[in-house]
Amino acid sequence: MTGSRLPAPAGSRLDRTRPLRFTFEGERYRGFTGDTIASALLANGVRVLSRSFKYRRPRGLYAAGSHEACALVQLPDEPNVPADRRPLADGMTVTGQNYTGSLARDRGAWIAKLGQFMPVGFYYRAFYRPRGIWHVWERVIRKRAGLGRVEPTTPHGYHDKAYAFADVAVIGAGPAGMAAAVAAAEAGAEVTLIDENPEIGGALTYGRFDTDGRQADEALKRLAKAVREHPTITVMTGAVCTSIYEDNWLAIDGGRRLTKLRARDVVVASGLQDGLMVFANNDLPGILAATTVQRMIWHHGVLPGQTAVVATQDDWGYTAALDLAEAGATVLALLDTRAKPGNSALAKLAKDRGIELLAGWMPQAAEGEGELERVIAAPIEGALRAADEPRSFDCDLLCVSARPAPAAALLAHTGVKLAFDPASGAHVPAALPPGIHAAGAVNGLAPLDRVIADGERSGAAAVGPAKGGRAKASRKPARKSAKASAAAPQPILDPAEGKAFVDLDEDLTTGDIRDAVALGYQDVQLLKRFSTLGMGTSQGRHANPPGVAVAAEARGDEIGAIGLTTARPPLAPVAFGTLAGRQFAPLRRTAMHRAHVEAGAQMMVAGAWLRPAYYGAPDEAETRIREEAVAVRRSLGLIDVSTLGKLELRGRDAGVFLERLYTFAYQGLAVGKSRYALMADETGAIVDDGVVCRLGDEHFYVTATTGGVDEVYRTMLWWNAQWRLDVDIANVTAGFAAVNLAGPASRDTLARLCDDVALGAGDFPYLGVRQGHVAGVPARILRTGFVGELGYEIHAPAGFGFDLWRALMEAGESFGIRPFGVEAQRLLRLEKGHIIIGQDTDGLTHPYEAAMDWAVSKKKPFFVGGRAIDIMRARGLTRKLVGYKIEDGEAPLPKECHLVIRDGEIAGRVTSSAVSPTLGYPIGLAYVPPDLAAEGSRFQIRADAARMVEASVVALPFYDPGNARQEV
Amino acid sequence: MVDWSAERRSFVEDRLGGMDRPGASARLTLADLSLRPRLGVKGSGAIGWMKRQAVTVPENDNTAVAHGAAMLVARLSPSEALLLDTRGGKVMERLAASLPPHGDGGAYPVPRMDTHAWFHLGGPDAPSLFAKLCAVDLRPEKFPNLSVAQTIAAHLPVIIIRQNVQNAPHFHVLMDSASALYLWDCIVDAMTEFGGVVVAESEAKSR
Repeated sequence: MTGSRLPAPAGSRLDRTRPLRFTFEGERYRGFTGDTIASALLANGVRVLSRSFKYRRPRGLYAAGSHEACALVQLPDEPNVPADRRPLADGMTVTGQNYTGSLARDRGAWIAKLGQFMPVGFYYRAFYRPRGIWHVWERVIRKRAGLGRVEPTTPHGYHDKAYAFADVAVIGAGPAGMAAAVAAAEAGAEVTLIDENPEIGGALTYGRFDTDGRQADEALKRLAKAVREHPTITVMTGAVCTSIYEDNWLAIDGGRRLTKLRARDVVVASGLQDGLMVFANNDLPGILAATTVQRMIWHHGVLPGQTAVVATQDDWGYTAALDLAEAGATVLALLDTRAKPGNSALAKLAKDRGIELLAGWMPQAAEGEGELERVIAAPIEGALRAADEPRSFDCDLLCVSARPAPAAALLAHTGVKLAFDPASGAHVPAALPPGIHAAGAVNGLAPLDRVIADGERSGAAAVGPAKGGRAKASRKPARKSAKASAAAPQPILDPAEGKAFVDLDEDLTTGDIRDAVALGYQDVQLLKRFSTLGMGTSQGRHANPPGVAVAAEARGDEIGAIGLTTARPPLAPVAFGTLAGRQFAPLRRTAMHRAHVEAGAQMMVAGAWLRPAYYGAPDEAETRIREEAVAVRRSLGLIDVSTLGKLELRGRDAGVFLERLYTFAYQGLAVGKSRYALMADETGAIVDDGVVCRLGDEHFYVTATTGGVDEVYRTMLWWNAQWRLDVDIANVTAGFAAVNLAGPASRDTLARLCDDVALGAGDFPYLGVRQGHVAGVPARILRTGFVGELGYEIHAPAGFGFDLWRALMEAGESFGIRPFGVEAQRLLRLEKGHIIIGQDTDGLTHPYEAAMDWAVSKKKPFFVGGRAIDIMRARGLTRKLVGYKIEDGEAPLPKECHLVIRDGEIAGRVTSSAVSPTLGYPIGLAYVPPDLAAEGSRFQIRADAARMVEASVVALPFYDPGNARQEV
Repeated sequence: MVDWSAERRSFVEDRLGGMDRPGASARLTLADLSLRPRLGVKGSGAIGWMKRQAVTVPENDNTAVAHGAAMLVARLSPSEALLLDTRGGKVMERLAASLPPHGDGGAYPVPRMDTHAWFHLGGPDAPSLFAKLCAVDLRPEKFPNLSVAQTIAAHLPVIIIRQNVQNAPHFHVLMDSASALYLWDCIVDAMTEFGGVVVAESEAKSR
């Protein structure tokens, strides 16, 4: 039987007292707490986990920890779960991925037989003729593309984010990482040590670095103890550092939490990643990387095969062979691609264990029906060719130790270039930027003592001189040529039959790479994009070295001359939930928010604010809005205008400042009066409006638009810094609740709540400003006319806003007061011909275009935008905002941004449009050419369904042109 | 005249029902102090005015100092300070009355009672809670007692002031009053992980 449990000390992660039940593909299995999905399945003899991306070939675990697609499985509510990393849980229901029918009998596997019709990059060249056929093919391709299945009914998971800080972040808690962490901590640094595994130790927890493994055991005990006991080292296990961004901002994926770690220095001690040995059918389930075999044995207590062949390119394969043999497996042969073993002691031990050593041999092919059944091995003749003297080994496990590559992708995120090192045959980090350090095997170093020493060096270098370490960035360490024997060519065989894969994620074979090069994609970056080499879930961890080697051979070039593709974040797949989880979106509520909700308001978002759009059910919106508008015209309405921007300007030069900033004049504004305020930028474009109230000789209270106040405030601060006037500016927007009590009954209503302000028309005229109390609340009262009726804008401390609202509603009850929302206010102001900045203006509108010349002082020597406005005025208008009405009762109502058409050409656009509840017909504002701006001119608007609607220009305002109603 | 007596209300009044009484072991508490007096003073004459009022003023920006037992003075810039009544008293009332809206010698009042809400976070897990909301390192060893951070929490501008109570770090958090409910909900959500509890204002005072 393939796969079985081993007794302790194998299985360091297992809690054998806590068995777990789970199903895979509908079959019931058992595992233990501490198992991963993959280890539990292997223990139960299940080697096929999923189907491959393109050819639907059965796939199993190859390189545990490399984030490869072969190990991705499906949970009911989560696709693409890495079976080699996800802990087994009781009751788990697991299935394979990427098949039709069942994993064992995939009805879609026929696609593999069409392989010759799907050469590399075929989708760039097929499916486009005849014209239009792509839309047919797209549906077919999209159905087959992708891995896993998203279950739309999955409940939202809780993901969040957190910040963390460290002097030194060490990525990888293997021997170099632990040594670096301890060294940095001992030099006084606060250190965070990050590792994706559930424990620290890295390869020391499963690897045998010498004949008896003693060296690894001792190093693990010593370093782990030092890490645990050091008070300034924080350990994050089960956490993948997926990216290193600017200023050493590390993204660490802990599953449910994304930690954003800011570190002064970063030590990357990410070690090595498994290589891939390339031969026919090198993807068969049952072929495992040597480190995977060892992890299964030592972490999970699983013997992944009973009869094994080991193929190796270095000494590591010997240690794996010994582990297998000592765990009870029969190791039929050890195929060493090198002519001579590097470590004679290991070779002797292997021989003593009865393992046949075949130096200069490698697998030629793997065979089996869906899983590994035998290995065909042959001696290597020349660089990449096998001689014709094969031997066949019946086995259920092929343990592969291909040359590992430095796991340097994270270093690449920081801009580090990887250079090919002929001595080790691998790409290793070149110069490092300040604050970034590389430690241990990622530098291409071996053996263990040098790895640890390099960790210590890097850890110390990461701590500045103030804390006892060296301040310089770590230098690229010298590498011994001791592994010169490992620098033999990549073990790649082009089979006559069967597929030899260089990229298991993307189902790319040696032939695909050669074809791509032959098609002209010789540059490695183009090769990547055309062939998708290294673009799968493992991001080319084990695919790039053989892929580049094949490409180099096809080009007739050296590997070092080809270079590598660029590694970009994230290092490993990140769940959407991790990226999306716990987003912050500030929302502002007025002090009266609860009163609006209780009154049935439909809230709308206005900038960052929530405002009542109208009061009533959505299906009655039109009626309710009209009723609200009519109530204001006939009697009384109350609207919450707390969202208006509010600014205090105080100081000797406050008047001068306003005079320079706004288009109007304010120095002569009397205390107790207000004046419209129009702000332009330096190009003369209108950017905001509001009201300036003079509360004292040196005290102005200025309102601004809801969405514009923050920019207005910034603009004021900027100009104040430029002009250096004696004026202080405070943004008190949230500090004041504000309402507009509007309608013929507003004065009588206010009188019921205010006894310290004379409200008579003579005492408190239109545009007057008073300070007093309303309902006992200190208030600033402005007589404004935005909606065109007698009205009072009442500004009061926000803490009293709720009670102020309630008091006014109660006081106005006998007048039939109605709260009205933004929609009714828009109607009312349109009737009065008032513009809304941003709706009736755009980023280029200047005051003369918007018919706001009345708001531009002609006497001031300077104001921001003044010169530009003068120039544009002198040049003549190209458009003008006009009021219009539509007399055809059957015509559709134009919408905002519908176009004004003249002679078939665009001549302008509508900015506001509504049916006036007061006038009874459609009105609006539109930009038209100047020659159409005269009262009585007619123009056409292209409404929905391209229906042309005739409009005629009318004088503004539409309602109460004599202002008789608002200035009473 | 309609007889009406208006009441000042907290910006998070809707969330203050059913508060917990923390056990002695509570490691994280949240309280709303928005109804406590506070005042902002700004302008080129702000610091001078405070000194003339015999208010203890921090030497450096972004630091705070206790003025007696009842008031905390946080210096936000060379020309702005925030005065918080931490225990209740008449000092704030007197100061507010002596600084008219149009200012005094280049010092101007800012209505912090209304522009800003005021929360209090206490307990040893408070820095961990901040780590979920704020990119500034607010751990005790990095953010000393009486430090002030003007930063962003949950994408919202906030003022965070550390003030030890019986040598344990406590934090005052002030933010835009209109966004108070938003931040309150963010904090309550974030503190679930730590078993945090919402407590009454009086409870925050005594802790």
